[in-house]
Amino acid sequence: MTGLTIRMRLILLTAAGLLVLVATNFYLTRALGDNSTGMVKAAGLLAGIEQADSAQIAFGEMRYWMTDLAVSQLTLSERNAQAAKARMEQHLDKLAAWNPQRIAAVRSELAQYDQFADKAVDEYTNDRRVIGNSLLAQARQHSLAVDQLLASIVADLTDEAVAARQKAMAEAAAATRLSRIVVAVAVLVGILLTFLLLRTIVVPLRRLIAAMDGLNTGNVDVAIPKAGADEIGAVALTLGRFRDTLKEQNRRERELRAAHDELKATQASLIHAEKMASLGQLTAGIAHEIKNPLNFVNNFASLSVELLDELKQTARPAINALGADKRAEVDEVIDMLTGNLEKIAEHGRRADGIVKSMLAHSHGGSGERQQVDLNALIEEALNLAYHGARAQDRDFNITFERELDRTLAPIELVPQDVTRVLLNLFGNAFYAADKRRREAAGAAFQPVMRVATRDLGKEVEIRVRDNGTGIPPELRDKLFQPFFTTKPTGEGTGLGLSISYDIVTQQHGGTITVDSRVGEFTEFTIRLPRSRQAATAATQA
Amino acid sequence: MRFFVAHGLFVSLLIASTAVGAAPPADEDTVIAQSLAEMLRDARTVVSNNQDLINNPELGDKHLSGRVVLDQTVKIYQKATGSDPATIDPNSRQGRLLRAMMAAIAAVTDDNQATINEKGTGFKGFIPAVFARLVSEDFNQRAKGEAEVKVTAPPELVRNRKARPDAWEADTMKTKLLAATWPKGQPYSAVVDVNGHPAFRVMVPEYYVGSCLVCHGSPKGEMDVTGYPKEGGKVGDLGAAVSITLYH
Repeated sequence: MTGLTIRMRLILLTAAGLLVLVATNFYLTRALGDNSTGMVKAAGLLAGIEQADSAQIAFGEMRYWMTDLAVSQLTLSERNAQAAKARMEQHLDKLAAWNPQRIAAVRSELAQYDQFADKAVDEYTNDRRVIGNSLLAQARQHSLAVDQLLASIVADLTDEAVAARQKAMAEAAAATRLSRIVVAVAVLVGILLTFLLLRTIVVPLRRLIAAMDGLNTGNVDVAIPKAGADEIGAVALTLGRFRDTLKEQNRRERELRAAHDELKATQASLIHAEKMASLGQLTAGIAHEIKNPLNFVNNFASLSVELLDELKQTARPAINALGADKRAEVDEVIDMLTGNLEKIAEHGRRADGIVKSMLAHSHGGSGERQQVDLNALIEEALNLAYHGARAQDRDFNITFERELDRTLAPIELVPQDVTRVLLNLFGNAFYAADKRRREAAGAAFQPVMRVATRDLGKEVEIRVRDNGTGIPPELRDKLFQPFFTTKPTGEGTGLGLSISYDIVTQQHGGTITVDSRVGEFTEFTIRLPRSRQAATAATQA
Repeated sequence: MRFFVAHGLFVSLLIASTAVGAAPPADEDTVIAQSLAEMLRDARTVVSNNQDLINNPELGDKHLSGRVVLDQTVKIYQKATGSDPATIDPNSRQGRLLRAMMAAIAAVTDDNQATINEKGTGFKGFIPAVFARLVSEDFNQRAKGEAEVKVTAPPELVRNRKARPDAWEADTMKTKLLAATWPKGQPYSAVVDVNGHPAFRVMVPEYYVGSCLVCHGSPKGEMDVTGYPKEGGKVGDLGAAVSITLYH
């Protein structure tokens, strides 16, 4: 049924109903016709009975008037007898069609009666009563015969009429019963067909509605009902196309959103780069302005120490001449001054180192680009970093995991700067892992740092992952800002990642990203383009 | 009562008719026939005149014997014809037949005394027509082989089967008495063969007068006092005919 259109289904259902109606009507018409024929036959027989009854009545009247005539001799009685006989003849004429032989027998007896009765009346008229009585007695015999014949005819007609009526009634009852059964079956079949038809419409419609609801809620993977050959199939087909369009729109929207996100990331990166550049310039300016006075501070501090040594030696005699207390007090002051000056010199050098780093940051890399075996560079930096850390802390220890791509072809880069970047990353990893070890307070924690390289074709990827304390999400945006550090004062300048960011992005046109989970790991990923053009273009951008 | 009056008037009319038609015949047969017809109708007039008496349910013996009726009949006869039947030679044909008629009148009356004198019954059916038929039948017995008398009528007007006309009578009434050109009241006579013998036959017409129509008038088919449907007749229509046959 679903292969048909709804219109065709409705037409077929209606046609089926009409067919049943027409067939039932035809059957009833035929049955009614048969019944009508039976009833007509019964009515004809009843009419025959009526004719026979009327013939009997007419014959009775005829006899009465003949008898009256015999007594009264009135011609009126004679005429009435003749009229009654004529009526009887008419009734017999009508009855003759039913059974000519039996009516002929009645006529024969009637003629006999009439003949004898006429003669009897004539004899009475001529006052020969005895002969009249004799003739009338003979007439009476034929009269009885007529009566019996008519009575038997009436009885037979009645039997036939009753049979015909019963037959017609039985046929009518059978037709009515069959008609009721047909109507009942037609109603049931009609209900069933209507139910099935509605089901073929409603079920797909519900599926369509469910699909539409799903699409309305944005579920483009919702199942679209199979497209049949009917109107609902056409709607399903259209809905399927609509879903495909929606899918395509969603895909484009996702692409657009991705592009937008990428654009936003690029924009943020640019803003960050600009910020870094501004900070770099500012730092360079500040460093340049600070360096001269700092040189004076450092130089004069060193000079002051020397002068204090000279003063100490020069004034030694005088000092020795002083009392013990005074001499001790002077020596203590001189030592304190010397100590202060040394502190000034020490911190001045430290400040000078910071300024130099700032200047280096602002001036960028100064080394030449050259083809380098990146894996070897990493091994070298790892070695330097490890021993540096061991030099500062003899208890420091960490497990290295190397996943270096041995097929990695040499890449063009500035080795000093990249080494600096690697040292920064390794140092931070050592610090975080060791910090966590310390925080673990003797628990079974083993600091691990994993370094991996991978050749991506046009790019080379370096991953540095530690199992240290991790970086909270709110701090990640600040990681690459200059002077941002989580280390205690004096242990970090906050310039390492900032410088690394500039070296990777500005100098080499690469990218550096970080992924971390607090208390689990931190992983930095560096991607460096192989081509010089890409690196240069990125640097210029 | 009107019924009886009507019959009485009808009989009077018949007498008048006969008087009209009785003028021309001069031969013996015509005279005999005329006298027989006159006697019969006169007797009928007597019965008609006594209908009230006859149908009186409170009265037993009406003293209307055959002698009384005959006397009254003779008186009327004498008045109508101007002759006394007693003076006619009893051996003559006329005298013999006239006396037979008179004997029949007396006999029929006497034979029906029980009917006439029955107390408690009103209408007894002893009307002039019945009386005339009975007299005719009695006369025919008395004059057997010599003469016959019958009061008949056109077939559609005959009430008693015995009064039915024979072929000659029916034809005479149809072609002569009922003919538009037939003189009113004129009898028709002819010598015809009856059963192989020549006979002189006379048909004397009788016409309806107003009183006759109480039973024989309109509306046609309506029942009269005797229970017989009226014939729808009008005044002057031929209502009957006295048929007299004289055998030679």
